[in-house]
Amino acid sequence: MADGLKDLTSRFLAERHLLMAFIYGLVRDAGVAEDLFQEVWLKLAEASEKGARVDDLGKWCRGVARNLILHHWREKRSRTVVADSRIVDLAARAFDEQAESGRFGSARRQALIDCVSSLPGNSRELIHLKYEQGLSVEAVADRVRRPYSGIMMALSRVRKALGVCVEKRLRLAGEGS
Amino acid sequence: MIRLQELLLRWQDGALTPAESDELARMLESAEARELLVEDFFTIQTLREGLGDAGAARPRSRRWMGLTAAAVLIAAAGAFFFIQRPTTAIAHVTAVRGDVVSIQGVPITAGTPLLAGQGLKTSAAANATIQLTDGTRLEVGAETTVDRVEPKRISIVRGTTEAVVRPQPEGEPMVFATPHGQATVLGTSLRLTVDTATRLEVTEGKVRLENVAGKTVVVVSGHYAVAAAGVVPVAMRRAPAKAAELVRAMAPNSWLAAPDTHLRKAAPDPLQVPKIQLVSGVKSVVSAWSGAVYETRRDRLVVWGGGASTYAGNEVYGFRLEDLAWERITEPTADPTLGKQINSDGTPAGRGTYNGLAYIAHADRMFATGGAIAANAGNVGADITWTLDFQSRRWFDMKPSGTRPQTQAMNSCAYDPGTRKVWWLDGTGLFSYDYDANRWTRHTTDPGVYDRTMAIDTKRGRLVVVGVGEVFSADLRAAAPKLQPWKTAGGDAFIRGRVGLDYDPVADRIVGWAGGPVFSLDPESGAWTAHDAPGAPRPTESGIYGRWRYVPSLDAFVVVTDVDENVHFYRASR
Repeated sequence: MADGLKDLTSRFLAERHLLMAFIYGLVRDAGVAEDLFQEVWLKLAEASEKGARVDDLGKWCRGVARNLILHHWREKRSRTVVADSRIVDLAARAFDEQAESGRFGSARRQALIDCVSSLPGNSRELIHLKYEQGLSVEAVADRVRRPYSGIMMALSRVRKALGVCVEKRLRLAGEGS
Repeated sequence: MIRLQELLLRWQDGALTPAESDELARMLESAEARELLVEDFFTIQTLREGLGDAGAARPRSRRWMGLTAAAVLIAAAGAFFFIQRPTTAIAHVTAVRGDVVSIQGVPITAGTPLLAGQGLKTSAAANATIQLTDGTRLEVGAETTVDRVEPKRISIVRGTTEAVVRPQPEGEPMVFATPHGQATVLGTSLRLTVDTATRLEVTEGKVRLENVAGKTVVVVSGHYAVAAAGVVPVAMRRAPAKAAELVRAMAPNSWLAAPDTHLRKAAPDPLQVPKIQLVSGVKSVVSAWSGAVYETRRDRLVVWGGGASTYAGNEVYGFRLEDLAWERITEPTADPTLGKQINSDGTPAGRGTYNGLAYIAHADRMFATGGAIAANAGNVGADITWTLDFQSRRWFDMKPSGTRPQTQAMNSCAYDPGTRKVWWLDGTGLFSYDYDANRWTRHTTDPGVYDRTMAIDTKRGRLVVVGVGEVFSADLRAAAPKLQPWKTAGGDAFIRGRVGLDYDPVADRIVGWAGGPVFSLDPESGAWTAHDAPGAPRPTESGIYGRWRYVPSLDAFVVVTDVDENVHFYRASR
């Protein structure tokens, strides 16, 4: 592999997690998110081939991803999803701000995974159904035979507990914000 | 911030109302909310990936990442690379031939895993094999789009896909979804062809096909059914074995000659029936302005022709698609009553049949009237209405009531399953023959419209007539059908010919051939499209007429052009 491509690839892969978080958070479909992610790579490789200079690679990729996401929604013509670009733009801005802070790195990821494993069984099941299987809140409620509002509340609590746990672990490790 | 989390959860579920999205946008004006959004998205992504890893037994899948626009860059380096995927694959692409890409256009190679929700597209002459983790195998044909592959649901947008579905647990069937309906499977082999309609063919087991209107039919092994708008799906017998084997191997938009299929092989020994030979013998069964019908019940192309000064044999030939062989359905009258329309044995005189034959499917009979009677120096008429009962192989003089047409030589007709009538055009007007009532009805007076070929668009109930450089149509669902000129676009040379013409319900096109390219007529836009395909036979000089027929069980066309030429199949692009 040519050195230029190798370097570009490793820089791109370093941005992978945050970029995928951005894309998946906005399209909420694992397959589509993966395809858009790969399409961002194609655009990046193409730009590189044409000699374009990319200083802030994460920001550049999010800009491309933003356009692809909007295109995706336009093609889907979804009525239940915001079709204008406001939320996508605000999300891009939020990621640009937080990317500079460096808060969302590998240490936080590891802490989060560790914290999930320390959750009680029923909370782990909720996380499993909602995030691994990608079920809607309604579907999770149906699966565990609990009311919708109860699942909304339980997920909020689990997420809050995870947040507290992560911050604690990061502090103990001498990292974190 | 609880409200923000709630809105984000609803966002993730795609359940935000416009008012809620406005509210979310307003909240995200604050830096704190934006930070929470990033944390939320980051957490979700980590949980998706992290939990996948946490189950130690679950392998990470990897996907080859091909490049299109950046192909030069990669090719120069002679390199490829892959990126780790976050979740478990539910299927793998195990074989790829030709250009196969993801829905987003990224090239796919053998070994590529598919996540739930991903799909692929094949180009012309390409195909791919997808193996699901439960062992179900999909053979994706050329020019096919498999939009989404999920563990229990395969979405196919267009093209042809064959599947061998592993037995599924009770209550958890595999579903194949298309724009026209869905096929529900508990473990079987099937083939789906998706164009403007969906055709399901079942090789083994049992499949429930449901169209978008909720009408269902159970299709069992050896049968097929079509789901299309406005059409109730009905199970029909599946493709005849030998022809199906040939056609499946054909590329889209191509011709194929079935080997060793000359009609002459089934002809009677001329020395045994010298009185019927006239000027050119059995060759005229095809070459002398002769037609045919396609008999769907037995999957046979039935040819009847000859007549005038060329041949007095009145035998009927059938080309069986099951074993790709010709047979004589009826024997010739050895001593015909020349110059009369009926022989002394009560059978019809041999004749040039033009486009005057039709298969009355609901009665399993071939309709025939008119035509150019053999050795007809006295120019007698041919106005007897005949039907040939395929079960008994006997001709019947129907002696119908009503206003019979003049039945000239250059007439045309087609059977419409919607009205259950044969529609007839002979230069004096539009008529219909109702077999059930055994009655003719005159609908219009259209002098001069003759020497054409007729087909019926069964989706719209529209009769289409092509020839002499003109196209006419008639709405058969109207209270009083009228023949009206139809200004179509393109295909000028084609519509001048004595063409073969039939309706392809899967493509929703009137498709014709008269030599050279195949032409299809879009019934909505009225535009003809030429399809150049390799291997077309030499056309019959006198015209093709009904010898070009759509074969529903094969989803292909069959044509015979000469008694000394092989029968040809044409497979359209899907």
